[in-house]
Amino acid sequence: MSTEYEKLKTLLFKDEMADLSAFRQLLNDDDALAKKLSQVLNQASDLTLKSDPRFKEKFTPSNPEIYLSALKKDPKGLMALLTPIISPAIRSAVLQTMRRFISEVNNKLEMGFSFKALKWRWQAFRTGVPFSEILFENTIQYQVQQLLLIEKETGLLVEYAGMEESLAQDKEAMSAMLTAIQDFVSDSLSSDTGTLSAAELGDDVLWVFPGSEYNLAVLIKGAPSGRLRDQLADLLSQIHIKYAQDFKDQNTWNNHLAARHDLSEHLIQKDIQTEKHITLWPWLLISVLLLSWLAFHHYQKQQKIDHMWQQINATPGLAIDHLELAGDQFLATGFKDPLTDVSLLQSVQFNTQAFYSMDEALIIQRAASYVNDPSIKLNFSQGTLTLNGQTNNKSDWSVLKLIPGISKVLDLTQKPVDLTDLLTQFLTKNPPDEHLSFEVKAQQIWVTGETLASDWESYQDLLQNAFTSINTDAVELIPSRSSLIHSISNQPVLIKNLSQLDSTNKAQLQQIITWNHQLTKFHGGGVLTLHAKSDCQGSIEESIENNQRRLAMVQAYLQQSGVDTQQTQALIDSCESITETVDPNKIGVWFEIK
Amino acid sequence: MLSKKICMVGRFGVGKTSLVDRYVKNHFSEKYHTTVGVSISTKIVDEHIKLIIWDIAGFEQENHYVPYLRGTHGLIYVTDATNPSSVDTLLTIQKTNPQIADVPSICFINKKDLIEERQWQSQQDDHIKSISKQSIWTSAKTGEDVEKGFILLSQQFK
Repeated sequence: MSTEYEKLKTLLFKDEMADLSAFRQLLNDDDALAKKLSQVLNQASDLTLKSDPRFKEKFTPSNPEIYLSALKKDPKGLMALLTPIISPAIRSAVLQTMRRFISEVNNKLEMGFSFKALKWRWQAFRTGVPFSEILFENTIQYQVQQLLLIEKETGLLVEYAGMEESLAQDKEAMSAMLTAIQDFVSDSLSSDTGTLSAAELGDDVLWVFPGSEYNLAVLIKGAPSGRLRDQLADLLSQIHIKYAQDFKDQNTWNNHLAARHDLSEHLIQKDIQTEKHITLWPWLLISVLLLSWLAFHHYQKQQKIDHMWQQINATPGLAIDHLELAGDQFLATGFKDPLTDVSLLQSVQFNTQAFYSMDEALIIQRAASYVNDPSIKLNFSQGTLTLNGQTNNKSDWSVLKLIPGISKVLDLTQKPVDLTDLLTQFLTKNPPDEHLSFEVKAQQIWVTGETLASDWESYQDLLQNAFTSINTDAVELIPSRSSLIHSISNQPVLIKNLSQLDSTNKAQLQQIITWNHQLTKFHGGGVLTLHAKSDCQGSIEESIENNQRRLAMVQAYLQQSGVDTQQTQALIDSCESITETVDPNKIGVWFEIK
Repeated sequence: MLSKKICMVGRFGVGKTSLVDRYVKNHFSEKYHTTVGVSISTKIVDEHIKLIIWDIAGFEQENHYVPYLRGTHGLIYVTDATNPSSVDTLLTIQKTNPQIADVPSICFINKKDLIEERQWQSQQDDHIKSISKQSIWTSAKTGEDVEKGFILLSQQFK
């Protein structure tokens, strides 16, 4: 039965059994089975994924232990794998942090000590508002003008915030251009790790923040802070989280109010300070110098005006109420007496009206011009005009009260005294030296003649007490006897020429004659003795002969000058020995009074 | 309104920029200016579609234009009726960028007005058919069928 059954089975399922056997053999042979499955595995996985997308998760294990295990096994290998990916990100982060740090240091330095910072600190102290708030309010230097959310793949605009009219281009075109530029930069630099993130044109700054699905392009005017970059990067992250699902439907693009609102919140509409940053110190210095110069110039001008005021106030007859300096000329307005002497005020131009000045000097001047007598002296004090002096003019001076300012006239003038009589009386009372003469000339005592100096001093005092005007210029004072004898003895006449006396000799002899005359006239005189001397050079005979010749010349000159030679004595001093050297200071005539 | 990215594709001198100028500005210049990089223009086709037209240069430089094609919604292949080799450029572009094969497209056979200089044969027609399902003879100079070509492409987006 079983054999037949087997036969029947073989007849009926021979091929199937062979296939089954082959399948069984295939299943038992791992290598063959793997080889067979590998041929259809790719196609099978595609079909499976198509019918069940969750199947993919089985091939993307997210168990962190796998990575940890790999890290433990081969840390260097994993590092080598990660380095090209994370290095650019690290570099970028470090660069941004450094820039932010430097920017903040610069801001701190700039804001720490400036005049503006001090002003804001004062404002903070005064108002109680924190300094940081005031600082922020005043130092904001940028304006976020446009924000464009751009689909990364197509460059199409997803959402937008900003002033559309301020865009030079259609915002859609701008969005596309930005994407094209990014593509161009990435392509040109062959960079797989980064792309264009910032561009500057004048005051405008463009920042592009790359996201996984969308890029955020931000157009900023001015100099944005590092903090703004962080805020905008956060904004892009938030948009991805909140609206990425919504934006899968393109119909929501440019029509998503919530996203637009989020973007708009980052538009900083505060006006940029148009004030240019200027360096203050040079202007301050220039201002100080300018002010100093103006102050100095004003001071100098004021000094000149003050000085002129002093001169004007010291000038009688001027009542000036305004004085100004125009160039080098002063202009004075007020009142001026016609008699005012302005010869010392050449630099003043007077624009004045005439008036009668009550200055004493001008009242006296006005009265003097009326009196017209130089012998009458005028004095004015407290309305009273006093006339003094000696004059024969006996007019009625009470008319002088007609002159403004004079209320009373006191006439103390006297008839002039006869000086000759007075002098005669004086000389009678005080007999003078017989050699003096007295004369009255032009109401002045003139004294001439000679007198002993010892007597003159006391007599002169008497004269000066008696008379107001004395002229004694012509009085010759005679020295004492001893003084005259000393002078004569010390005045040798050194004679160089044996044939005649020279002019010096003659002048010396004239002086000796005068002294001898005064001695004779005032002191009883004496015998004038002449001593002829020589230097004793040569021979004694020759010296004697020469001395005789010199003595003769001197005696002849004395005689010619009116000296009685009978009253003189001539001696020749003989040489005791002969010298060999010539000494001119020993050759001549010496005098002596005996 | 939906925005659609359109890329003008073709070798230099076939008239890509002139076609865009004619369509966007209704303007034509006899002078030839080489486009550097890419030029962007926009045009609202109707109340539903706004075309963002990328006029791309550099198809002679290997792969430099590729980043610009990324994410495009439509392609306008441009060829020159007086220069049959410009069709070969399109074939090369399509061959080296298989990802754009399924993108809606139209082929502009430009310089229709230069009848005497035309060197067009049935072989080029066959190539055009392999490049794009739709094609149209245009003249940027006269403006003939330029707008129609753009509209035909935009209709593929609906």
